[in-house]
Amino acid sequence: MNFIKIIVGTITSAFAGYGVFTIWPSALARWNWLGGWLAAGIIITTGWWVNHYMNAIPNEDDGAWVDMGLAIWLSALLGGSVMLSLDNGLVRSGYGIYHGASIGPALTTIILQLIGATVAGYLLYQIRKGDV
Amino acid sequence: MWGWNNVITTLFGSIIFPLVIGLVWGKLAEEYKTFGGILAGFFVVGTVWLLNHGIGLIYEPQMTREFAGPWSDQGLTAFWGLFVADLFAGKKVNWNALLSAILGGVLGGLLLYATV
Repeated sequence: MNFIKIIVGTITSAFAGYGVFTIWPSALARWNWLGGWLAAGIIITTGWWVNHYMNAIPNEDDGAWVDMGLAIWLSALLGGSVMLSLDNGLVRSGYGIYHGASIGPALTTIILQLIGATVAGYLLYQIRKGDV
Repeated sequence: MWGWNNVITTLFGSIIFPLVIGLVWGKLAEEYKTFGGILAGFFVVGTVWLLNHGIGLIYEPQMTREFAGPWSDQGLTAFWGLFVADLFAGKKVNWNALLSAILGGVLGGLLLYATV
């Protein structure tokens, strides 16, 4: 294990997680669906550029790809989300496990997400096998 | 609460996100470099987000209560879909990358917790 690489990847993927769940709810609250779509284009692209294009999350050719989505998902699961509102400034828009929220009510969603993603992963594997 | 319609839309939403990323993102980035990634950010993540969390294909009934949470983002499906696709192809687990993202999530969560 390379601790320098892990520290760099930790910081840049924390940027993605923190950025998504502050800017995204704020843009959504301000401009509705347009805001949500713009937030995707702004944060995800910047996060992707640092984490994956510059390879700050140290992915390698022979290793299974780790997407910054993991850091983003964990950030909200643990810390909830925060938004900038017109009337009240910074307000909390969601609670996480750090606040004492139980993972139980989210578990059905998480399990179905994992099942669906496994299906997608298998499809991708089959498509790539035939493609290359 | 959960009905079969919610199960089906959640599964579909969880399939489409990693599938479209896996099919499109790498090719756009290869062809157009940084600009390809920007296109993918808007048109893949922006559009699928509108489906999954806008319309709500990925059902999150825990968010309807007063102290809502915890949120399970579509990011999980992006990570897991691309990760298992490579595991199926026989690639090994890259602990540097995996630990980076896990610790990044822990740190990102702490910042969100500490903000307000």
